Amino acid sequence: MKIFKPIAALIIFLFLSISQAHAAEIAVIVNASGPLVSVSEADIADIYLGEKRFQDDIKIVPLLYPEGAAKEAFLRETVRMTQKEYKLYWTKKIFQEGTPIPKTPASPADIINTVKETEGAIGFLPKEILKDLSGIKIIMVIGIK
Amino acid sequence: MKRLTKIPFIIILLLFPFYVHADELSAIQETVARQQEQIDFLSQKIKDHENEDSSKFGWNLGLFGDINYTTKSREHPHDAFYFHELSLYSAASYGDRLNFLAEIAFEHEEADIERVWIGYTVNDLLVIRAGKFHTAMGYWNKTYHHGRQLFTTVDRPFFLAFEHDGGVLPVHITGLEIEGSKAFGIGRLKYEFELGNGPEMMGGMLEPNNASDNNSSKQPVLRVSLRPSAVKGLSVGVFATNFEVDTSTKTGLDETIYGADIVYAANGFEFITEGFIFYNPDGDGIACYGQLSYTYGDWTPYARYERLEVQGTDPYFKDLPGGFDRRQTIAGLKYDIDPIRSSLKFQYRHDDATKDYDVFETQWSFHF
Repeated sequence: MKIFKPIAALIIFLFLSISQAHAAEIAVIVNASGPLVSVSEADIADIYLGEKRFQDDIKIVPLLYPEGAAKEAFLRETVRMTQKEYKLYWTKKIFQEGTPIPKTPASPADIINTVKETEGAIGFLPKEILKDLSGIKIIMVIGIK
Repeated sequence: MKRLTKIPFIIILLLFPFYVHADELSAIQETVARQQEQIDFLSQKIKDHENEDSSKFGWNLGLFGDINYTTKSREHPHDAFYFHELSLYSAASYGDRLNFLAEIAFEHEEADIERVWIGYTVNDLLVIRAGKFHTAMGYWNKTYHHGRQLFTTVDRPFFLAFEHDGGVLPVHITGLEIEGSKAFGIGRLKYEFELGNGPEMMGGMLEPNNASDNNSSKQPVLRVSLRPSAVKGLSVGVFATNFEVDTSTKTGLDETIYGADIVYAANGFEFITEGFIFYNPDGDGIACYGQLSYTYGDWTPYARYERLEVQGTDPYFKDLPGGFDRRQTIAGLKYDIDPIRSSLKFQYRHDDATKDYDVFETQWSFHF
């Protein structure tokens, strides 16, 4: 019985540690052999604001994730906007410049495949979904709060 | 022996939960398979929609409009319901570099081509457009067009009104436009340069000269703006233009307008301020406004102060219906039924000139 309490405490501590290690994270991914492998965080913001459209003469293709915690965290950390503010920003931009809003692929697999197949593609998705990193480079990791 | 006869019964009893769970598992698997089919079907529909031809007119088609109620004002001699205009627009792109935009406004019994251009993106430093645009005279005129759903307030600052509404600035130009931006350590620097037909004084207002030019002098417009890296949400710009215009008292008047704009938007706050200086050899004037708003959920309280001061002898302002000393103070509340699609605005406006007005206005704006 004397040994039970320290063992229980150890188990609880290990459980909490593992939980923290697996807290949700978002990975920002680009094509591993494309022109975006060394873009800065400021460049990522400019890309998703439609201000930076080419890199080394290659068209940049920004991809969005569906509405939710991952997109909220990404927008907060990069362009400093909520999802609502971001939608409004792009409504104004389309009306002002005709610039099309970044696309939201149908599934995380489509995001990964597009990034692998398109030199100028950049996307973001929960890091836990990424199993096979071939053809992909993670350039930024964001924690979901 | 009795124990032996009990054994099959015990085995069945032990296996019974698994038999029940196997049934449930099968049902769940069938449900999952059906749902996967639905997901695959919807995914394909989304892909098909995304692959629609984005080069066609109408692929990205939108309409802005607004219905208003106002008490007696300088613009409306009686309390009145009215709608400003319906603004129909479409933007399209072809490939990575070619894009188009057209905006037509239907106002009362008239239809005006407000903007129409074709553009080619060489790279981030050079975008070339030809057509009719809003002049790069400051932040508001380049950001906001005819869609009041995108305004925080009921209307534009009075001196930035469109030409046919008594505005004192040439807010449209037909010609060429180039723009570009580049990131430096200090921030992203952007330039916008336009060259087109200068305006003409016609019927007591500035006419943009869409179809021809009444003189050979062309109007250049330049705006340079910076989004500093050190302060997220801040943008500062400077701009200038010059044009030749014939007034009722002076032929070939050389008019110069220059100014600066500051915009800060962060954490729900938005602050916009712009100043304009008008100069010609026979007179000058100044115009400015400052607007502050804060968005909390679906509600946005706001306030704005606007001012125009002119010289009474200035031949430029004398010909313009809006060319007189005037101040305006606005306070209001915007409620977003949907921030993109529809909003309600409730606004008080004190309009101070030779005759003062206290105006209460309500607007229901929409975009679809």
